[in-house]
Amino acid sequence: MTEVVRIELDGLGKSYFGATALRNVSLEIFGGEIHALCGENGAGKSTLVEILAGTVRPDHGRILANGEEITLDGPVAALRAGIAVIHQELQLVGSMSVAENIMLGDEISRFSWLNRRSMSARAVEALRLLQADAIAPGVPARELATGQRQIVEIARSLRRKARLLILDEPTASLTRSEARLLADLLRRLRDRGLAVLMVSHHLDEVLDLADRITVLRDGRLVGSWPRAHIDHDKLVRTMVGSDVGIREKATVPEEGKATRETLLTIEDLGGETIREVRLELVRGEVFGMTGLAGAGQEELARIIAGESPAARGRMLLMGKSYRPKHPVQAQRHGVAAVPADRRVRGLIAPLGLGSNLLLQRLRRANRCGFLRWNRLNEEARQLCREHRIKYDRLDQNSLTLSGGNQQKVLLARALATEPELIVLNEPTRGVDIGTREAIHRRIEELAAAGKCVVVVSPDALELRRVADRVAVFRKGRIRTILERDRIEERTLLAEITGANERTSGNEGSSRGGSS
Amino acid sequence: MAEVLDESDGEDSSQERTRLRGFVLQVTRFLLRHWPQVLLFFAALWLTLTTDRFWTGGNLSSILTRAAILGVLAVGQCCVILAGGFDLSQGATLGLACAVAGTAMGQGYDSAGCFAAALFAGGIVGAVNGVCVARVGTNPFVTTLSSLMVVRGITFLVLGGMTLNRLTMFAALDRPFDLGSLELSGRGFVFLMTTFLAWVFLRQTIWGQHLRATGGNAEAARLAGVRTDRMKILSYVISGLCSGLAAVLFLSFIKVAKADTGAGYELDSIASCVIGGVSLAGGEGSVLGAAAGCLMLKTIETIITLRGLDDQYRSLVTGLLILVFAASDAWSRKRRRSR
Repeated sequence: MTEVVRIELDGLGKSYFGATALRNVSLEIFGGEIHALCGENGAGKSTLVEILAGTVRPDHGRILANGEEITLDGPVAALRAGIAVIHQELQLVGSMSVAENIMLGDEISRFSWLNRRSMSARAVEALRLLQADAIAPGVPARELATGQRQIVEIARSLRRKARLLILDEPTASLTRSEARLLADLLRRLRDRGLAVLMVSHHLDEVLDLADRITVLRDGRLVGSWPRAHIDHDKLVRTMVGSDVGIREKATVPEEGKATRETLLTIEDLGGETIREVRLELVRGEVFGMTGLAGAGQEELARIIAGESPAARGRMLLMGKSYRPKHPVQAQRHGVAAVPADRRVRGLIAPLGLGSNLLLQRLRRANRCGFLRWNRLNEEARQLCREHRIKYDRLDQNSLTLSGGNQQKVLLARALATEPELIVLNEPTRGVDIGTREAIHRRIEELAAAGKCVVVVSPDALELRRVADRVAVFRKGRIRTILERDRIEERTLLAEITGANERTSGNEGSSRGGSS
Repeated sequence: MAEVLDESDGEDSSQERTRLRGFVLQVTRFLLRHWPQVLLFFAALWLTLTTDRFWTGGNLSSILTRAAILGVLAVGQCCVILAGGFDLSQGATLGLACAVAGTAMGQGYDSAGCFAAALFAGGIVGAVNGVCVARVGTNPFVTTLSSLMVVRGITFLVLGGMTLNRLTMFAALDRPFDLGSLELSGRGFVFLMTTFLAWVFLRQTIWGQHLRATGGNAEAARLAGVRTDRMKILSYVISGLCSGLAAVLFLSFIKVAKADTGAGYELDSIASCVIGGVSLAGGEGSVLGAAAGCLMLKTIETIITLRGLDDQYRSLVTGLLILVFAASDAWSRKRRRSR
C-alpha cells in the first residue's frame, strides 16, 4: 500500500520550566511493526507523543523520516509527514456526521466548492478498508460508541496517508470486545506495512500485541527490545526500576479478618439499567463488580452512593432503611464514593488541591459562617502526608498533579468523611504501577479495619489482586458471584461476555490472555 | 435499542416496506429532535388561522419586510454562534455603519459609495472582534460587550452629537417590485438573498464546513488541520458585514442616523437564533433556522398588533416564548441523552 517507513528519533530532549520531561531519547520506529511505548506516569511518554504529533517542539534533537530530516511545527506538518495521532480523548466533531469527520481538514472541493457526493464515497471507502461497514457514514459522530469513534479517527488518519499511527492509551475506555476488535485491526494495519506506535498502561495488552517494546523512565530511554526478548516480569522491573512493591499475584486472604457482620443489604433493586439485584455486603470484605460497559455495575455503584435514585426495591444499611436522595445523605450514613472520571466528576479544577481535599469537611471548620483556614490547611497537609500525595503548594491547581496523585486526592477526600462503606469506580484507571500498588494496599487496609470496599473495575488483574468476591453483571442482572478462588481472568471474561451459555460469533473465539 | 430491532424486523419483509419504515423513522427522529420548533410552528399556524386579516399576501410580505433588518443580523449572528462564539456588538455596529454611511452621503458620495462605506465599517468592527477572540484569546462575551460600548462611543464622535436626517441614498430599496401576483419589497428580497447565500456558504463550501467544525469541537478541528483561528475571525467578519448590510436596510426604511440607532438589536438576533434551534454551544443549527426564528418573532408581534392587544405585551410575550422554547429544548435534549 504505502512504502515501508522508518522514523528515527535522534537525541530528543524537552524540558518544561526547568523540569526535564525527555532526556536525549533516540529511537527507531519501523513500518510493519507494532511498537509499544511503556513507562510509569511522568516517564516522558506523552511528551514524546506530543512531539511526534507536532503539538510540542523539542528543545533539541532531530526527527528523520526515511533518512530525511523533518520539522514538525504543528498538527498540519505532522499530518503532512504521515504521522497521525489518535489521542486518548477522541477528537471528533460530535455535531458532524461520520463522513464529514473522516474528511475534515481534507475536503474534496473545487474552488472551495464542496463535492459532497465524492466526499461521502471516499469516507465509505475508508471505512470499508477497515472492515467497519457497520458504521453508517451519515450518523452524527456523537451517537457512536467509543470504539466506533476510534475507528472513525483511524479511518481519517489512513485517508490522509498516515505512515505512522500513534495511539495514546487506545483501550482505556473500550469494552473488552471493542478492545479485541481494535487489536485485530491494528494487526491488519501492521501487516499492510503501517508503523503503529501505542502507549498503554495495560501490560498484558502490550505483551499480546506489540512486536517491539520500548520503556521510558524519568524521561530517559531504558531500552527497546523485540517482543521475544522481554516478558512480564522484566517489563515491570524495567519500568519501575526495581522489584520493590510489585505484587501482581493476590495475597492469600487472612482468615477471619473482621467480624462477618452484614453492612448493606440490597433487595430486588431496580433502576434504569439494573433489574432485581439482590446482594449482601459484609464488613471486612472487598467486593468487586464488573461487566461490559452499561451492564449495570456502574449504575448500582451510583445508586449505593446516592448519585442516582433507585426505581424499585430497597436497601438496608446496618439494618436500617437506606434510601439516599443525594450524595450528601449517603455521606451522612457513612457511604463515600470515588468517581471513575477524575477530571469531569472528581476534581474541581479552579479550587486548589487543599480545598479539593477538604471539600466535604468544610462544615466542620466553620465558625459563625467563616472558614478557619489555618485549621483547614493543617488538616490538608496531614492528609497529604498520610496518603503520600506529592504536591508543590496547597493552592496548586489540582489538575496539574499526576494522574496517580489526583486519584490519591480523591481517595483521601472520600476517606476523610470516615465512611463505613466505600465505593471506588475504576480506582486505578490511567494510574502508574507504583500508585496502583499503593491504592490496592489502602483498599486492603480498609477492609482489614472492618470497612466494606466496593470496587467497580473492568480490570481482571485488579479484581484478582484485591477482591474477596466479584459480582459479574450482564444486561442489568448479576449473573454470578465468583468467590475468591474462582476470580481468574479466563473465568471472568467468559462470565462477562456470556460465552459459557451461548457461543456467539467473535465472543466465542476470545483468547483468555488479552484484556 | 428499539430502533435497531425495528430495522432487523424489516429485513424479512419486502424492500419497499423497509424503505418506508426507514423513512418514517427518519421523520420521527427529525420531529423529535426539532420538536420545540415544530410545536412553535403549529402554535404560530393556529394563531394565524384564528386571526382575521392575517392570511393575506400583503400582510405576509409585510412581515417579511419588517423582519428583514433583524433577519440579516440573525444570519450574521448565526455564523458566529456556529463557529462557537457570539456577537453582542451587532446593534452598535449597525449604528456606526448608519453614521458612517450618512457622513459619506454628506461628503457627496453616491449610494454605491455609501453602501461600501457601511459594509466597510461593519467589516472592520467584525475583524477587530475576531482578532481579539481568536488571536488574543479574550472571551467572546467580554470582547463583544466591550466593543459594543466602544463602537457606541465612536458613533457618538462620528455624529458629533447630532442626528443626520433625510438620508435618502438607499430609498430605492424601500420600493416594492412585482413578482407576478406577489409583491416583494426590496428589503425582503435582500433578506432572502442573504439567507440563501449564507446557507450555501455554510453548507457547500470548505470554509463553511470548517467554520461549523470549529464551533463543534475546536480542538478536534485544529488537530485535523483546520485553521480554527482564521475561521473564528471569518465568522466575526461575516457578522460585521451583516451588521453593515442591516444598516443599509435600516437607512432605506428610517432614513435617520442617531447615536443610539440599533440599540438592543443584538439581543433580538440572538433570540432569533435560539428560537431557530441554533445551539449556543456552537456547531449545530442552520441559518435557515435563524431566519425562520426571526420570522417567527415578527409573526408573533404582528399577531399581537392585529388582535388589538397593547404593544406593551409584545416584550412580555416574546420573553415568555423564548423561555418556554428553551425549556422544551433542554427537555428534549435530556431525553435524547438518556435514550
